[in-house]
Amino acid sequence: MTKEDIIKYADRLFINLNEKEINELITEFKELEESSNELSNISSKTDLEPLYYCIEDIKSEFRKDTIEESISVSDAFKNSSKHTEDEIEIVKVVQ
Amino acid sequence: MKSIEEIHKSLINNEISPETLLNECVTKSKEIQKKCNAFITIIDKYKLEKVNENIISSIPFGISDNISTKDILSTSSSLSLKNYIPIFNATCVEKLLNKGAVISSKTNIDEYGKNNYGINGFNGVIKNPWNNEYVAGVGNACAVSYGVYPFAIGTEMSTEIRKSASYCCVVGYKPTYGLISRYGLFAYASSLDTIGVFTRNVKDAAYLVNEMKGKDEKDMTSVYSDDISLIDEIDKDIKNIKLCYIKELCNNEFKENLSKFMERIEEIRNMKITIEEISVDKNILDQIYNTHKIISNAEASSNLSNLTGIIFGPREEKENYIDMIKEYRTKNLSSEIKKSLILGSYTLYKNNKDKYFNNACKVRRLIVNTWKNIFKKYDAIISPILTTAPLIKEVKKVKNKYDKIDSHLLVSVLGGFPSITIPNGFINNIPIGINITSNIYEDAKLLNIAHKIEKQEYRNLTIKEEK
Repeated sequence: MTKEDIIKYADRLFINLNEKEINELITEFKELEESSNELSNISSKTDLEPLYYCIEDIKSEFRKDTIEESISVSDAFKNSSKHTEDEIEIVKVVQ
Repeated sequence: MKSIEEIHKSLINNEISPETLLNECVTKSKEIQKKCNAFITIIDKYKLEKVNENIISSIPFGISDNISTKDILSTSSSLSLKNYIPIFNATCVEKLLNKGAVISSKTNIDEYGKNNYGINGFNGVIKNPWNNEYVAGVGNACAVSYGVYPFAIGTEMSTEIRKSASYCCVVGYKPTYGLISRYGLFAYASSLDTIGVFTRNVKDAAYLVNEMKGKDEKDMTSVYSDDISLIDEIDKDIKNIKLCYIKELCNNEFKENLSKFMERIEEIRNMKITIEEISVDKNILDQIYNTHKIISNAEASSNLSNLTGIIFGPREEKENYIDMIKEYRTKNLSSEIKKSLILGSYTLYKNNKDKYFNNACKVRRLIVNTWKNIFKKYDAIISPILTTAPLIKEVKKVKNKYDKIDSHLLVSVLGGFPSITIPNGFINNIPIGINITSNIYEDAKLLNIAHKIEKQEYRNLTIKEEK
């Protein structure tokens, strides 16, 4: 993993990194590679399915199709620093 | 310091008024804030209600800052949420408030609840109340240990509740995954995140989780638990219980901690309880840390993608929305979180997913199945906690070294198993705990065992009394 690769991956997440963070990530990507090889050594010996959720017998139910009170517009805007009466303000998306 | 039951009795019998109780709580909060930096927010104005018949009525408590509290600042110890005031309560908070409990403080944690040292939140390092040179883990363990209040609500993505409890000489209980709704918990790694409690004795932990558990339609991963009562079985005889400990965890450099653990094992055996030594494949034990790290980073990269600084969080002014988000994330997320997000998203790319994420999830099943097989023969696994609280200056330098120690405790979040840490004395005047873990949904049995073997001398102990 090169410095340029790391900057590219960070950029995809809209994150800028400083030199220290880039160097630390170079090490962490090396460790990730080693970890992955170690995990493969174990997983290749089994035919187990991946476990994504620890509780696999969760009973999911549809919510009742009833209209419930939602949050008010003023509540929804409480944590946005820029808004009009009924819209959140943002810079132009299409320039 | 009194237990919840004793405080409730005092309130009912008018031996203490809610006002006095809350004033004492504020005074102690301010004391410990100066010494340990345990809080993000201390609430010193209360709306006093009459004491009711519920056991937690009028009793103050603390909540981790990554749990949503209506109209109370909830920053998750991150600059990215430094001004965030939720408009709703988490389900667990709502349940406690409905029973009459009183929010006293929002407690300091590592940013977004990731880690168990208390060194990387924007509000500064959390110091151990027993010795300020050492880490405390999270602020709620600190506050309960100091006797600010008898209980606090925390969260666990790796070992935050159970190791902080060990560092501070309190009880830390992480219930079965889904027993308490996660609605209102700021998600970090959804398949691992669990809400739990800090108390000064096991019975108090049982009371609390009993009040908070239950299916919640706002969290599809919450589970029905009407048939589980955590209080009814707490005093049951445990003569027929079979415990085990894992030999491979007892063969390393932490001799002093292990001898303390083995002393306790002998004492429990003397109570006529069966404890056997078992063996687990070292190759599997060695991969617990890697498995957890890949899964938690991947899930975090998905969960934290809503951090844009537009709908909430401090907005950065730039000419286009990409630069706005970039500036917001770059300035307001710590290096620790940024690195996790980059590593996590990389493991989820289409071409990488099988190699990293799916591979880790396969090993997760292998690890969890290993533990489930143990639970076919034994009621619970009793484990040492191999490190006392590390020195703050040491953990800042070599955090990775400490991350890998005690990785056996991560199995509980990988498998959703209920797990509890109880105090087991002191090493060089720094507290140390032991851990007990059971199979999923066997919380009542776990608490019964923990209640029976917790030492009387550590029940309801607080630092103030000790000193």
